[in-house]
Amino acid sequence: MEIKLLSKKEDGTSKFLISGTSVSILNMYRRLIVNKVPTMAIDTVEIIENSSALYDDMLAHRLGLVVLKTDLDACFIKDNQRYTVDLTLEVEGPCIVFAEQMKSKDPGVFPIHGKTPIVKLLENQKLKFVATAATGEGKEHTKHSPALMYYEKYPYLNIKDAKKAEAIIQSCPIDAKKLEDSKLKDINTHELCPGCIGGLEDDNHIETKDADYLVTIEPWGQLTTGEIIEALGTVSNNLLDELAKEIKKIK
Amino acid sequence: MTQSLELKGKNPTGRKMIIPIRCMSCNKPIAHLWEDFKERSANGETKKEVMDDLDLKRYCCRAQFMGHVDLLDEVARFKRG
Repeated sequence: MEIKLLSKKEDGTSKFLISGTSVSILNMYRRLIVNKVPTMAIDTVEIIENSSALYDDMLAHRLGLVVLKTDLDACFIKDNQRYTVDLTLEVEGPCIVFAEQMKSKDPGVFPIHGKTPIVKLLENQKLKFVATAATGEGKEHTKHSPALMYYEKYPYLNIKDAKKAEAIIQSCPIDAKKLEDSKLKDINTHELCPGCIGGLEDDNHIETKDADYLVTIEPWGQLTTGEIIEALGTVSNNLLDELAKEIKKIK
Repeated sequence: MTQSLELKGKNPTGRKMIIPIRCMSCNKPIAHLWEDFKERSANGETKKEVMDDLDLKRYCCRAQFMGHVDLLDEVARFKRG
């Protein structure tokens, strides 16, 4: 298996070209990332005062979905002890309550998107709670999922006609227009968007190879893409060790 | 009768009074983009431009923004119960 990083955006969204693999392997990785890589999220909320318009359970639900920066070392559950952090908040209206106003006991655990509105308060409305964040896995609740991963067969554009390449560059609404020197070489490495596909008269110009995949990992913010891949390795190793142990028992 | 009225009051308003923290379909956190979106689209930019700029590329996330109405300000004026 060969992995090549194609692009990385500011928010961490990374595209890879993975060659020499198959859908079943990639799907295993996808499911492990979504279900088994642990992150922190608010788990229990003790609401002391809530006179806002949202019910306590709605509020707790919203808090649970807030994305918290997670320290990878704390993630893995050791000796059945889950790592927990308390976040407290006390505000009085009128104001919009933002996630960044929560005070965390651990400076390493904080809401990534500080401007996430939790609730709006009017005059004389108060909100006070203690929320406990804990590590967990995506299979328990989707709020623990660190990323979205998806893949497709890597589309190789194969255009030999310069006029056709020019036409596609003209029809592409997004990226291809940015290719300043519209050379064949550039268009052949250009990532396909629906606009480009519309510009192609037939599918003969798109080639795929059996073992080459375009993989995208879009992290939500708890962990960086690098950390997710690192954790993916640990998680799959642990699972394989467990399997080996069980098989030995049967023998 | 009273029970059905209560349920009527709870569910529809509770769902969409305030922008959801995450996209209901793909799980992307979107709530922090809402204020920006609201301000910019009120200042004359088209919704498409703003959403493209905020990197909302899937139609599930875009639907959350297109269909959302901030009702919390209205609802908050009345007594909860």
